[in-house]
Amino acid sequence: MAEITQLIHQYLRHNKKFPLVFCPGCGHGIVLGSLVRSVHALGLAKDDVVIVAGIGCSGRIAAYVDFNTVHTTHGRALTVATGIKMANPKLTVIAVMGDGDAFSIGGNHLIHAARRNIGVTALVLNNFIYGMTGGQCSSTTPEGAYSHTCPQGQLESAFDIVELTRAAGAAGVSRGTVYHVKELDALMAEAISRPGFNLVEALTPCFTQYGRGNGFKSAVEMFKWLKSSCLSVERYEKLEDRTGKLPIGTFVRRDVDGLETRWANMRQALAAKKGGAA
Amino acid sequence: MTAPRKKRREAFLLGNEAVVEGALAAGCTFYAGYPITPSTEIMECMAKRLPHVPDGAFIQMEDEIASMGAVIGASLAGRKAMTATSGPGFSLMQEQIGYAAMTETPLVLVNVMRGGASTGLPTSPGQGDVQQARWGAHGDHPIIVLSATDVPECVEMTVAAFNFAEKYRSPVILLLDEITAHTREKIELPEPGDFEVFSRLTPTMPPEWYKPYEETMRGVPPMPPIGSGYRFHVTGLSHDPLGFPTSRPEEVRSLTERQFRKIDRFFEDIQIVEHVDTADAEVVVIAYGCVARSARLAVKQAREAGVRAGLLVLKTLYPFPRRHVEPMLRNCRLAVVPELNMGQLSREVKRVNEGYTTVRTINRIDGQIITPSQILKEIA
Amino acid sequence: MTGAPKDKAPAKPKSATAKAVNGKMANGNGNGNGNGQTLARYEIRLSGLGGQGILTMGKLLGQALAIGHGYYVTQTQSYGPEARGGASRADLVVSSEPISYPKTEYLDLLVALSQEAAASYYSYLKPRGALLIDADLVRQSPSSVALALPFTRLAREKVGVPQATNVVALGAVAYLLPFARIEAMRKSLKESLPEKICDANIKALNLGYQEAKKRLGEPIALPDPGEDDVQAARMDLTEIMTED
Repeated sequence: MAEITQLIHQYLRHNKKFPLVFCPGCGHGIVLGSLVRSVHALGLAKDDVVIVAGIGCSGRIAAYVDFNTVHTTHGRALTVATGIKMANPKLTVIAVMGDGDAFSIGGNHLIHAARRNIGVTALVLNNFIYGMTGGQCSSTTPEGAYSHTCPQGQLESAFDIVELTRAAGAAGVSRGTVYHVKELDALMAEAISRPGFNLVEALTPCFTQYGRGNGFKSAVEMFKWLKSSCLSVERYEKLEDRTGKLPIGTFVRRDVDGLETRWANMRQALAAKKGGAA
Repeated sequence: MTAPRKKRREAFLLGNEAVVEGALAAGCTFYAGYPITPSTEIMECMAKRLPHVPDGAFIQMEDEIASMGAVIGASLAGRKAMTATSGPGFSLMQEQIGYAAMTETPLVLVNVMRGGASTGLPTSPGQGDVQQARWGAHGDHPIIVLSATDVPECVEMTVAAFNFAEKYRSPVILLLDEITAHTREKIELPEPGDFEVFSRLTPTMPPEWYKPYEETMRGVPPMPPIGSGYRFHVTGLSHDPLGFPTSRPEEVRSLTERQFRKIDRFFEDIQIVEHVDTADAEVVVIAYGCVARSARLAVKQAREAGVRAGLLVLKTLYPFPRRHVEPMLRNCRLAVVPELNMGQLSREVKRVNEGYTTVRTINRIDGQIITPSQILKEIA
Repeated sequence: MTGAPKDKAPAKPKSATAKAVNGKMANGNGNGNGNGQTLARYEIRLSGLGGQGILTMGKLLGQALAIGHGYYVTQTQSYGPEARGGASRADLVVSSEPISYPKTEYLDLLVALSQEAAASYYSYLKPRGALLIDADLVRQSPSSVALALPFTRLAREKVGVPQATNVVALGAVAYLLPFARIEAMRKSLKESLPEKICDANIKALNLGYQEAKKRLGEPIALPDPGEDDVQAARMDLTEIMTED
């Protein structure tokens, strides 16, 4: 308990009003805790950490943490994060986004950030729904699920975030849940440390806007669902019947330099060439 | 004859290339953009130059929204940053212009206006983005909009754009047109010391005392780069002096009022105009961009033909230079506003007119420049 | 005097040397008799097809006149969306005074490297304006007094580089313009072109210059600067009266 109190004092803003804006049963607070713990575990200085958030429930996380925080427009967190990282590569830049943010309105930015491997960590809080606007379907809402904009059930299929980001070329892709907290802490620390673009998908339930309309009796039931349906990617691979199961863990580990490093190397080579010629 | 001075380096450049010279002279070290005609040369030139500039960084983004995002990020991290675009790209940037205005992030956006709405006339000139530059982003926000008439001015006005952006913590839009951007003229390449260069003020108080959106004497709070020890919150939501979201009416009001006041109080500094033969004018032409060049010749010809004509060139479009325009309207029997649109800046002139004089507009929207004889016809 | 209140003194063009029509040094604001160096406003259009290097030619000529000679020059261009094969043109306005209107209105010199260009732009020539065409590519000259040289053939056969057509034509223009100096053109070329193609282009430039000197007679005579201006203004005013 003492350790938690210490972390709270060290990493949460004193001048920001608590409790969090999140609904009872929401998983976002757990992701916030995971973020703080992983930064702490890596021993990063608060001044060197930048949280760039988008719009939606996830976007509100930025205001509570005592880092450099930028709350951008809907879907554009990665673009601002890219600018910050290119301008000052020494900073640790973490983009916190929701599923609508990262994969619907910001989908283009996401695949390009992955392709160019800018040294930014994307933390996507996937709750399968637009929570803040009151429960409309997103590009990760499962087929058949209900929302206010698909009252007869979602006809479209959902993005597989892991496969999408892998195909786009990201250096690292992983998935965790707010039930498997220790694993999530580790996944995030790993993602933040790896050069290039790294994405962590955190499954976090939204009982208010998603669970109630889709047959969950309580928030606890949603956590139980995470517990029962998610298993490590290693175990998942060995399953005969994968119906209703979701793998968690790290799916992609590529050894690449971030764009900011490639840019710096190019400049260095240019300068050397110039110096040699003179 | 003046004393011989050191021979200066000259170059025969496009307006677009001159913008790059101006930007680098002003201390720009970051460019993010997306290619689009007729602004592309700005980007290409930056791609060549920035790798050689100390700390220079360049990135081609996936679209114009992303370009503006990257520029905002770089500016928050302490860089003087810019982007350039045209036509549809400018429409895509509006969202982020609003964000930059709300978060008071300095940046320079060069919009080379082409003809027509939508995809319109990509390789022809237009001036149809004037009102969009002022009001394109939703919600009340202050903005500074500049223009340039020729290639040497592209250098000067780009420097001015950066200086205003830094001084007033505001996005600044430099509106060029295809003709100004694609005309080659000789310029003297800027050298250090040619221009007064302004950089944003950074806080001098210890971080725990710093309030990022606090009222100050000038209305412009100091701005530290991200990573310098001042950790604070930046948001596009209406925010309190600490930067945290608020919906308390008095906090929301004072934020917006300060954002307007910080520009309004410095009209004298921001509003740049050029008077040509206006002192005794009975007819005045009010023009900007490439059309001002046609107007210059028309006014000269009118004078030769015995008409006391004058020209007011607006280099600052917004905040609209009322204190320069209004006396002209009071003193002249006729004001002519030629522009390559259906009448955008003329709306402002008419708004300021209040019955003083006759305001005649010349509007051309066929992708061709308004010629001197077209203007001469209206003033002689 | 509309007087652009810029603090730059109007650049004083240097005298053209060997081929100055009346052999006199231009001495700033001479006696007002237009000795071939003080230019009121001289308008040139270079035209042809995309891919013929028209825009490069415009840039080289403009650069030479602006930097090498110290004139005020505006060079504008018009191009289609095609990179190759469409119509292409570069317009230059040259003057000893700052230039207000940057586009051409009535041409003093039209260079046409395609039939289409010659036909489309001939009507923009002033009554005493000069027309220079590619003798092979413009089969039907719109004027019987056109100056013609086979630029494309010269480039292919004498230089061995068909892409140097524009520079051969530039050499001819350098000869024909009484206020242009070939050395300044050479310098403009050397400064702008990559080293490995520089020699061939200098050769092309010299060839164009020599051929023009041999076969096109005297350089173009300049219009009297003062008169032209007033006339233009009068012309415009007459137009108004008739139209209103």
